Amino acid sequence: MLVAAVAAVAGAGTARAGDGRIEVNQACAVSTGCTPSDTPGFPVALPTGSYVLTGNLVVADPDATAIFVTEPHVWIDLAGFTIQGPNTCPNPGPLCASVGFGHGITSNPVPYTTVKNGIVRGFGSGGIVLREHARVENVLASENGGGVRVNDGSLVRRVRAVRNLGTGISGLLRLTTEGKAVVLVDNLVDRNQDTGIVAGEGSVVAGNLSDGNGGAGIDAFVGTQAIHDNRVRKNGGNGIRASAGAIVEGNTVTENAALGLFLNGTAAYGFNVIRTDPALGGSDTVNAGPQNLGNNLCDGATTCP
Amino acid sequence: MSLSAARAACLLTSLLLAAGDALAGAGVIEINQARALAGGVTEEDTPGYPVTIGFPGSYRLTGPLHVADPNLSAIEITGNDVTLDLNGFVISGPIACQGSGSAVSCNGSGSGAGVFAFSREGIAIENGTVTGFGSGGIVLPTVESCRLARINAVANRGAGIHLGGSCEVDGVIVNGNRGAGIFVSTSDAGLESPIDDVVVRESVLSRNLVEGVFTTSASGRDRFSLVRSTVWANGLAGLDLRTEGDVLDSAILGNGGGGIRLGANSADPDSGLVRGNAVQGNAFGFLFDPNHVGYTHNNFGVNAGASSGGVPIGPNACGGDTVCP
Repeated sequence: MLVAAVAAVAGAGTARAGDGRIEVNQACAVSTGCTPSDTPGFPVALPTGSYVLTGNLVVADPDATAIFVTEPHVWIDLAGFTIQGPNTCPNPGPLCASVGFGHGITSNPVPYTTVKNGIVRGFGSGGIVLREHARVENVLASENGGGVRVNDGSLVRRVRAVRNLGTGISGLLRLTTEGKAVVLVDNLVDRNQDTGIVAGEGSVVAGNLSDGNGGAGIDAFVGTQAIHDNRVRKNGGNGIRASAGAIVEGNTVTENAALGLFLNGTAAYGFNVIRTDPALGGSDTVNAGPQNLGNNLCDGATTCP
Repeated sequence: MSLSAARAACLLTSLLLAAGDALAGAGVIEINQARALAGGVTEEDTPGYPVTIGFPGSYRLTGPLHVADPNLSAIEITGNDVTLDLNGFVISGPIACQGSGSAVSCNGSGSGAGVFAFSREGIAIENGTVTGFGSGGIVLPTVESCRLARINAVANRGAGIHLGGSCEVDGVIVNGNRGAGIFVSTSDAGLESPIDDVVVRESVLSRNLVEGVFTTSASGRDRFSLVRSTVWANGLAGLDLRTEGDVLDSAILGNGGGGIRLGANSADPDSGLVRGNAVQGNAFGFLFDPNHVGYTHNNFGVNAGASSGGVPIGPNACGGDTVCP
């Protein structure tokens, strides 16, 4: 009798768990399709709507994408689950290889996709690759071809991008003329084989930790950005690169393999702590040319180059 | 079954039933298109739009809402202390707006809003999209203590978001509206407190026909703060703040009017702090109240026209020079 009562209660709970959102899980992905327009097998195709994962998704084919967004205004709550592809980047271990052309989540050229609360791991082409006005929050993107890539007017907050083959988080989808006005804040970008964070014109890059990436810690090589309060350390290239008109303020930039700050002549910097480590190849704290607004500490001196 | 085992089973069943009630959303009132059309979402709600929320509580969309009449709102909040979770769904109206910045155009007009409240307090709205409404996406002209989080307010004929009391706005995307991205009216009508503070953080305000943010003139009691946000490619000014205000750690680029106007339009002295911003490619960089706005550690870059006003309280970069006008 107790078992029957529990089953009845659990059944009622399960029926309510969708709260109107469409459930996505391995069973519907493989067997039936998860939406009326979705056919069995990967990718799961999602038109406009609100979706919630109710289990992990596992994709074995390295060339298959797990979720493909077909229309604007799609919200995906990963609900703590993992979208797992076949790619691996062992740590410690050899450099990982990009295996296949699959993405964890990607889209048609449509705007307004939100992805939150879960893990996307092991996709050769990229973890999460979205278009304009995307929102990615509270996600771990690991061991993908690249971690998270978005385009104009997007928000990326509280994302951990770790051990991806390419860039950890990029606000430039493909071209340097894209990726405008992206807000990248409070992310942790760690041990990616290329650059930690890439940002385009009009972007805000603030409160991030970029540590141990193969390329630059933060590379804002096109347009004008506000770059604030980041911790950038032990990266294989410059700590922070910024272009014309940027403001670079309040950052701690230590032990990177090239310049601490590599700034365009019309960029300005202040309130930064910059320390090089010659043993790592760090050439200097700051290049000559940018406008020093003061209050910087460069290798222990209050006078920066 | 022993007595103790029976008691344990009974207790477990009770706990599970209680959990089932919680999962069932006991206390959280569901809103969807069918319930909207049928009426009775709350006691005072009549069939059709708007859905009227007249009592404090927690409300959640369980499906998208679409309003066909351009003069009707989707949801009207007439009670205090209401939390509305859009749950990832879209609230859409009948008006289609296209284009970006100075080229935004819409195919109609109307007085409807996606979510509307007047003279209320304690309103929270989160997790969804509002688009296609004539009056604006979210219209809370005199609401105290509101919070908006993870909202997309896009392609409305009016403002994306219209506020008028103290409100926290976090992580919103406001794009392609024919009105301002965020419009703050500073009327105190119906409000208990005459002090209105709006804080917008970590948001994108882009490609709206007129200003990214516009606040109407006030008597020195109202304040608007923008933090860690980007204001980009709006048709007129990026920020036109005719109140007190702070602009911190943000990027204001490519707006058809000025980058930041702060306090310069008000008859009263308006104080403010402008720090740590990149301001580039606007019609001009800034126009500040001459004596009460302090600015420091900004890069005003290259803007088309001359900047004026304000008091430099520290170094700034202005078009390759560290001396600003």
